[in-house]
Amino acid sequence: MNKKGDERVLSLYWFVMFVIISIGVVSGVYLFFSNQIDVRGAEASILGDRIVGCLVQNGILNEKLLEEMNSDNFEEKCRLILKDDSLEAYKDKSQFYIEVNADGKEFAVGDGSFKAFCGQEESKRNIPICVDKILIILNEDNEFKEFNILVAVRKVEQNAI
Amino acid sequence: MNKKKGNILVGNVVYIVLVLAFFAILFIFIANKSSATSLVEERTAKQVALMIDSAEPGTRITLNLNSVLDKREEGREVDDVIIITDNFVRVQLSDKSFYVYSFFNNVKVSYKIEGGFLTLDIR
Repeated sequence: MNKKGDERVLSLYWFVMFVIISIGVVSGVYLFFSNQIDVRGAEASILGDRIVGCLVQNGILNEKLLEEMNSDNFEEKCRLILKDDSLEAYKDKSQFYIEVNADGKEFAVGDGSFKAFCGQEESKRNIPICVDKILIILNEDNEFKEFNILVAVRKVEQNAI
Repeated sequence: MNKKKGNILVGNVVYIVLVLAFFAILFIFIANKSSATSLVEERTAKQVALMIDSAEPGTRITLNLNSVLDKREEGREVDDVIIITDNFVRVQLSDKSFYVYSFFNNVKVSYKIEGGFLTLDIR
């Protein structure tokens, strides 16, 4: 009689254990797969490379292009489209911030408020991702110049929530 | 005595069957979740958008889409699975869901899906 009672307690114990395991596995899998694929780091890096490719030709800084360039004609000169209408929330707000500092000339494009989040990516996911590229390149007078690009990509709704 | 032994065996078999069923259900759940249509749409849209972003004009890119096309809803045309217009990549495998991701590279993109392969011509 006691043995039967023990078996019942054991069955109940197994049942409760299975339920706990199921809840754990299901919620773990659900949380893992409900996370979006975050490509902002790759996107910011590609954008940075594209800007370098735009301003540096055959390893030499195109000073004439750099001189002509400003935040208004930057997209046209570098063949970029920074407008993103893929979500309703993005229509009124730029999702990029680009800061170029080359050979003493500096200009910025996009939402400058993203810069404050740079370096904070470890603490939160729902903030813009920044990529900073520092290069030493030759100018037309064969002098080495520092070329600094900061690219921040927000797109939180499509990558981090 | 014999009857009692028989009962124990049946109990064990039922127990093993239940355990196997439990793990089978968990496995099916994980397999379904990991190959969910929405996940495939998101992954493909982002993959194609990043490929376009990194491509120089004059580049031709071929991408194997067989595993993506296998997930499409019955009756959905292959040409309707990926649509690239303006600076957007839209991937839709069923009537219930779709995913749109933008690319920043200002290039003309012509594309076709043939034999399970997506070919992108960047100009």
